[in-house]
Amino acid sequence: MPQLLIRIDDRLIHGQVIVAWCPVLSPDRILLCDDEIAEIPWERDIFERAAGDIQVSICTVVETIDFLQRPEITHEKIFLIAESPATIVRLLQGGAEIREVVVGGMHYDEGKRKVADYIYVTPKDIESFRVLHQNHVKLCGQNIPNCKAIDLSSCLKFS
Amino acid sequence: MVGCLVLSHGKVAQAMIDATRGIVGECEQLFTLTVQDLSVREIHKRIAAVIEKHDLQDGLFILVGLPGGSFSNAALHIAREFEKIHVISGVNLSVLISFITKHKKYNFEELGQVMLQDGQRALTML
Repeated sequence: MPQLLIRIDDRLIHGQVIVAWCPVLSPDRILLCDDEIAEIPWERDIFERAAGDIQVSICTVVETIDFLQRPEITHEKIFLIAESPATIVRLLQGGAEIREVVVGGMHYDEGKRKVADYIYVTPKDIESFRVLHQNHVKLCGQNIPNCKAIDLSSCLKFS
Repeated sequence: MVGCLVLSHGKVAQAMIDATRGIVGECEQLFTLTVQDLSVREIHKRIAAVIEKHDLQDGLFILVGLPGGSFSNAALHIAREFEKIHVISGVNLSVLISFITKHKKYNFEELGQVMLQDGQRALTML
């Protein structure tokens, strides 16, 4: 199993990820896990281009679970990015080993509840986070590396 | 007409347009969209609203700061849906001035190349 750094960010691969996080984390690869984007060539192209020189793989949830088992990436550090916590729940239920998730950006929309300046959640998101928490996944909020991480489980009153 | 839309976080885009107008005067073809902390989908929606509001049958340049940033990703999405859109990253005053002073002299494709050259020429160690 490769080393996994998991980020939830509804902008997926963008400035904060490439300019701020990648120099700090030095991942071998960005793995964008998104069922829709993985099936649309021109969307894949946009996010592959967004990552510049960093190697990018774009997979559906099912492909991601399979990908993480590949022997050739066992020693890699993988920066996995997904749009929502529901995706991470599906990865977990599909057998992926997940210990920690960092939430970097879930932006405002009507009907969402504010948790932090960069985290707004729907009732469905809260339920997904609850499942992750119950499965002993550490939940943090941190949008950029030099901003302090927050304990999302306690913000959502899970603990 | 041909248009130019500058996208940024915070007030950067508006300030750049104000500075450009200070140098070359009013220009109705220059638009701005400044947003903070929105999803790519929402940015996409707002760009589409700007396009619909204006008559841009001769083309639109969308200018952003960073290649690979959320604005450039959203702009590239939009560029799929409309004909005659070019996305240019690394926006600076020279690109904007180039657009305003030269858009009547060139067709859309040529203008894009001229704007790129002028913008790149401005980035230099003086």
